[in-house]
Amino acid sequence: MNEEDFLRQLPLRQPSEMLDRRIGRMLGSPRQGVMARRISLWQCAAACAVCAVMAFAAGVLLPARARQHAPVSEVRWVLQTQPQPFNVYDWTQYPKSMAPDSVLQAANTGLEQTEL
Amino acid sequence: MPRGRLNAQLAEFYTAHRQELFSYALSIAGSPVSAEDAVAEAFANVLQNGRPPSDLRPYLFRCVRNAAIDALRREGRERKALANYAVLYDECCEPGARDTAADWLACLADNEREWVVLKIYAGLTFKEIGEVCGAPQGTVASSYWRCIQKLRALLSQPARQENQP
Repeated sequence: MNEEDFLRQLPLRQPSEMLDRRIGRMLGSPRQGVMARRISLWQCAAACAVCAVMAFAAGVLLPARARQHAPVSEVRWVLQTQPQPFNVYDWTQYPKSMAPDSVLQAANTGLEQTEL
Repeated sequence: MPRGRLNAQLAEFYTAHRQELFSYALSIAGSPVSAEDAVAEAFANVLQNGRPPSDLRPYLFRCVRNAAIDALRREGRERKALANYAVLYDECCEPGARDTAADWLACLADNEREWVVLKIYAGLTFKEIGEVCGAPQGTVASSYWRCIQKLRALLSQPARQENQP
């Protein structure tokens, strides 16, 4: 028997099961980054549905809130496009009943639209 | 390479070469706990890099080598301090044979012992050993055969002593 064979035939010390478990844990459950994780189709669909409902609700509720005390659209157009000749009145903040007469008159005649 | 495939490749490699990697780490680190730490650290490094080279075997042995040397440094020990290489062998091994092998390995220089362990216990080629240890293939081959001759001389010493009156 030569030297290599002598060394080769000796039984080597085995690594413990602890090492196997450590390596198994390390390699068995890969931790992916948040952006690299797979998302299933049903999760995508659910996210889309929730997003659509939220967007619809926002589209309905937010303009409604803004229009809560708003005047008729013509009057608002006049006030916004040519505010100088009038006593500017914010219809969104105060009720229409408290508007000055000059503003209401000008709004009703529609003269301002012809001057543009 | 996708993470899942890399993990599967490394798991397969570990299953096939766990004994070789552990024995090599043990021959450097000297204690089973440090050797296991070195092997685990090497796999963690490969996972962290994410891109293993095409030839995984010498790369992982090199990682194990670096991790084992780092473990020695952390413990504040020199490689020369590892006098008892019987730790490499199983306890069921015949004590006489184990001590003889340990004595042989202790007679070799650090790099020579490393090459012998890589060749005999890990089954690496001279080219792969060169890649692991950062030495030319020819140097590894010639040094390895010198080691074997040295061991042969050691083996024949007791016989000569027995023959002497």
